[in-house]
Amino acid sequence: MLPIIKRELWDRKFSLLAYSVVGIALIWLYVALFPSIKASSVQLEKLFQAYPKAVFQALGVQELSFNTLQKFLGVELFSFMWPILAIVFAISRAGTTLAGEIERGTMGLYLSLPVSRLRIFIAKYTSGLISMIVFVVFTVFAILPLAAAYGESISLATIMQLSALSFLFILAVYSATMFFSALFSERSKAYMIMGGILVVSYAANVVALLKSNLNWLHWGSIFYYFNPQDVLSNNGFKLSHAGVLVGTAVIFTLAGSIIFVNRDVSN
Amino acid sequence: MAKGSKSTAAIDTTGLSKTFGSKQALSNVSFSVPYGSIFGFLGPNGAGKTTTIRCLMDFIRPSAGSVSLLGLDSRRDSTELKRRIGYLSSDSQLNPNWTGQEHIDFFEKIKGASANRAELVKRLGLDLSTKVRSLSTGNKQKLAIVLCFTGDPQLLIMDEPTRGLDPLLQNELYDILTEFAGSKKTVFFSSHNLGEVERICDAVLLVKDGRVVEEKSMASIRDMKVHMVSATTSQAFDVRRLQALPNVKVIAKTKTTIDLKIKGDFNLALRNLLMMKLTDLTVNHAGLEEVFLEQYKD
Repeated sequence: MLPIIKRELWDRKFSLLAYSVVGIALIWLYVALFPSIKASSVQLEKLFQAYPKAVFQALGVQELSFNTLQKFLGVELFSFMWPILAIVFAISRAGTTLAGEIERGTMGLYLSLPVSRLRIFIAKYTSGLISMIVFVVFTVFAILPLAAAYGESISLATIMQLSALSFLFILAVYSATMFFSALFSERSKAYMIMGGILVVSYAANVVALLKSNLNWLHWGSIFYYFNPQDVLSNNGFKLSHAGVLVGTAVIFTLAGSIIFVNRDVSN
Repeated sequence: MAKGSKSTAAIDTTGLSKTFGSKQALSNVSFSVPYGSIFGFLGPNGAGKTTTIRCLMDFIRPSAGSVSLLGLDSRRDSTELKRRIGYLSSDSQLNPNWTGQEHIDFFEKIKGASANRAELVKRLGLDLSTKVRSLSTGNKQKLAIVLCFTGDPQLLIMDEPTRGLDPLLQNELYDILTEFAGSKKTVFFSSHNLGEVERICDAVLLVKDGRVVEEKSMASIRDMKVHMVSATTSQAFDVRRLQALPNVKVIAKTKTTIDLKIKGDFNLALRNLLMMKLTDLTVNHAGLEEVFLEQYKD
C-alpha cells in the first residue's frame, strides 16, 4: 500500500504545489489589501448599509465590518475565494484518482498487482487526504507570518480552529467526490455531479438565510456547517458542525470503498 | 502443479456468464487449461476474449459461473493469485507520465523482482529511460511484456500479446513464451491470429459471440486454415478440376485470372493450378473472421 501512496503523492505534487501557491497568494493579496480597507472601514460600513440587506445575506455575510483582519478575511477570503479553491482542488483530486484512472485505462495497472481493491482505495484515499492536509496547512497557517509582516496579529488558537474547520470542509467535499469517483468510469461525471450538489447546497443555504419559513433548508447544506466568519471573529468552532462534516466524510468514504471493491472495472 | 493448488488445471472455468445491461457478453463459458501448456484463446473481434480474461483477472465479476486459477478462487484469493500471475492487457494500461524504469520499480516494490528482467529487457531491445507517452505502440507493448514477468509468475494471462510488435519481435516473444512454458509454467493468451496460435500453442479454445465454439488440437487448427489464392495465366482457365475439389471455392474468374478460397490443405488445388501456365500467383491467409465464417456458418 505504501508504494501506491508514495507514487500518488509524487505524481500529483505539482497540482498540490500549484493550489497551495495560489492559496497563499490569495492570503497575501487580502492581507496586503487590509491596511487600506481598515483605513476606510467607516466609509465602507456606511456604503454597505446602503445596500439591500438581502445581498449580504445571500453572500453569507454575517457582520458588515472590516475593522479587524479576522473579519475581513472571514468575509472576503474564507467565505468565498478559499472555498472555491478548496472545492476545485478536492474535486479534481478525487475525480482523477479513481474515475480518472479508469477512464485513462491505467486502473488495470493497480488491479493486476497483488494488492486488494480495498487497499488500493485506502492508498489512493490516503494520498489525497495527505494532500488536503498539506493544502490546508499552507493556505491557512500562511495567515500568521503574512499578517505579522503587515503589522497585524491573529491568535494561534483562532488559526487552529480555522484550519480544523477548513480541513473538515475540504475532507467532506473530497470524500463525497471519492464516492462518485468510485461509482463512475469517467471523471467528468464525478466532477459534474459533485459540482451540481455543491451548487444546490449553496443555494439551499442562501434560500434558508433569505426566507425564514425555509430556514430548515440549511440543515442539508454543507455551507451551513462551514462558517469561517464565526470562527475568525468569535472563535466559534462548533463541535456539532464538525461532527456533521466528519460524519459526511465517513459515510461517503465507506460507501465509496464498498462500491469500488465490488464494481466492474472494464477499462 | 503449482504449490498449494488442488486443481489439476492451471485455469478452470465453469459456466462463466457475463451480462452488461441487456447485452450477453459471455454465455456459459467452460474450459480447462493444463499446467505447463501454452493455451490459445482464439476468436474474432467482439467474441468475448477480453471479457473472459477480465473475469479471470477479477477486474469484472461474472454474472454466473466460477473461475479457478492455480487451484485458487479468482475472486476470494484475488490478491494471492496476482502475486503468481503475470497479466498483459489488450490495451495499454501504462501510466503515460512514468518511464519504463519507474513502471518496473513500482511493480517490483509490490510484486518482487524478476530473476530474468535484465535479460528480457535486452532481448526485447527496450529503452527504459523514456516516458511512456513518448513510446511507440510497439515499445509500450514491450514494456507491458516485461512487466508481465515481474515477480516470476507461474501463469501468464496475456490479451493479444503480439499486438504492435514487428515480425522479428513477435518471433522473440514466441521464443520467450515457449521457454517459459518449458519450465512447467502456463501461458494463456488470446489472439485473432490463427498463424501465431498454430505456431506456439499446445491447444486452442475457439470463442464466438461470447460462447465456446470448441476446443481444438493443433492438427485440426491447421485444417481450419483458409487461404485466398489469386492466379493469372497466359491461357484460358479450365476451372472444372478446381471446382471438383471439395475444399475449393471459386470466388471470381475472368478468362485469364481466378480467385480461389481454399479451406485446409491447399496442395492439390495448387498442383492443379500449376498445371496451367501461370504468370502470377499470390497466396494469403484469410482473416480469422473469414475462417470463422467458413467454419461456423450457423
